[in-house]
Amino acid sequence: MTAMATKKPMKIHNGKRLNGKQVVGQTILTFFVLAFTVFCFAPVLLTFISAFTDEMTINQNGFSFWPEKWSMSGMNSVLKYGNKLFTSYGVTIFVTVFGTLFGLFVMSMYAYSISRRDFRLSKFLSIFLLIPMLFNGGQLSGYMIFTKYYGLKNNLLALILPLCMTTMNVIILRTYIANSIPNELMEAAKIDGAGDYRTFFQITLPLMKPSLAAVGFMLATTYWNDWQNALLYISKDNLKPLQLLLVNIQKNISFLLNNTNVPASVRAAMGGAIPQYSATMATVLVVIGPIMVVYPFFQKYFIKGLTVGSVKG
Amino acid sequence: MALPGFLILFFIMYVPMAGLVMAFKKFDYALGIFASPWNGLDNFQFLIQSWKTFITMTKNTIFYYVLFTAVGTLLNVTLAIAIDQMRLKRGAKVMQTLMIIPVFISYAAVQFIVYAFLAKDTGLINNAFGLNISFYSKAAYWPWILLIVKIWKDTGYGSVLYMSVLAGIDTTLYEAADIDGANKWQQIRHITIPSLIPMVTVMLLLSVGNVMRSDTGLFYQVTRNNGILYSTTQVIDSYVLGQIFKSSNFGFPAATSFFQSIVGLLLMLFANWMVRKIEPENALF
Repeated sequence: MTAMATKKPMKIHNGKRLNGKQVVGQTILTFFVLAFTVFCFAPVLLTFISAFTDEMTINQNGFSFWPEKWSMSGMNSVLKYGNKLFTSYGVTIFVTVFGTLFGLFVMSMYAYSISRRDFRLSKFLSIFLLIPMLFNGGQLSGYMIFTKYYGLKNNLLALILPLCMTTMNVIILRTYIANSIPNELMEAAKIDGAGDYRTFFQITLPLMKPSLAAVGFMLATTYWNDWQNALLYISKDNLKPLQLLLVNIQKNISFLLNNTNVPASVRAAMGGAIPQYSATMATVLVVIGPIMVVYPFFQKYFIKGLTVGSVKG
Repeated sequence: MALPGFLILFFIMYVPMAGLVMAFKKFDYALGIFASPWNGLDNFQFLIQSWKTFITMTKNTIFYYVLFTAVGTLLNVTLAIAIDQMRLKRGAKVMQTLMIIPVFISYAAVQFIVYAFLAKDTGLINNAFGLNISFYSKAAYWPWILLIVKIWKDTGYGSVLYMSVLAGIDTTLYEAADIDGANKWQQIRHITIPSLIPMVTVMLLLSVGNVMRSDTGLFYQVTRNNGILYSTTQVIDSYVLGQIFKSSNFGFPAATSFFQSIVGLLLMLFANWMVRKIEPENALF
């Protein structure tokens, strides 16, 4: 009876009919959220438009949402990078795919281990995981260790290893195991004689899909967008990921801007690298494009998969 | 099963911690960190010699941390509640999709977009308002610019985490409040916000350890690592990154890094201790 009684106002609450005050409230609310959406999306839109704007138009009138003249020349000059761009795409895709799968594999196993309360080391491993969040060596020391002791200069592992495991992501995965996968399932598997590995791969891992998708997508974008490790560790042309191409374009711009006395011959030698506005924007578009295409498919997992619970084990 | 993760943590996170001893060494790349000779506190003397640089970047680091965390948290929570309250569910979904997009754009790309807005001759802002401001040579503008870029990039995604909490609130609480005649504002104040507090605390705590660390891309890429702007834009991380490429003498950067790590640790322990005193439930450890 009480359940019925509480159901009733619920209907009014969710019903279509709103009173006048609520309509005003909803309109204002929607307006503000919409305004923020425009604020977030306008710069992205500008990137699209500038990539297809005529170079002369940008030079004369500046960047604009309504360019006088459209043009494909920006896109064409990106395609002129040809091999360089393809190589970089290849590097970025390899690092992203391999790094994400490897990271998910390592992190979900770790998350599973610390979620097992009957596992003797789970307390120790939780603390071991937590400490790097409190204290870490920083960039400089990391750089020296990686180049001097691990010999990872110009090695793609230098792009993969530093990002593959973060405390935060392991905590998200562990929270998901603890909250959304019934412990009884894993205990039942154990009683049926399944070992830890079998339980993990056949019961836990398949059920972790939403959080794997959410964490995996975030991890993939981290790899895709990483410019810092590339800048630090990669100098060989055939190992340069996309982001490093962008960084280099910017360096060329600064070089030309800050050195007014660059001889004409040097400028000529830089040839195709002399950055044009529309070409630069087209490059940006080519670099960020794939994520935007893929992202809507993963969005539904975000709210479901990204819950952080208590960090204490 | 935890072994691969254990090894990665050990070699990627723990070994560089030991590398911090570099701050007390006369570092020679040929010898490496551990074989270089000790030189006591000499590196920290550099720190006093370059006191002004050091103070500026420390001040900036902390200033931006406080600014971004305060404004960021406030906006994330506000946006999450706003989207949650919208009746137009499908519209809210589409808008949310659009506003998350910036988080996926790397700073290496963002800087070109920012440039399109701020460039002196071709920039959108100067053209649209008939101005002629050279943003890239005046440091005073940059705290605002960086704040706006940060809000633009992270707020949409930042709100997702809070939305997952909102989705988990027991709806019967709202129903009961409705019956008792509570209006929307009262419901938000007494149900929604209190249920977000634990998550806010956890997120703040997690971020405290990073007070001395910054979103390097924002400060290094978006400002184009422009020396003229250093007084308001240089933070410890962008400084150290720059020094790795420029410097042959790592004494000062090493001392700065050491300082950065230790202060980060102390602040984290302090913050956790505070939370534990007030609300032990929400403490991290």
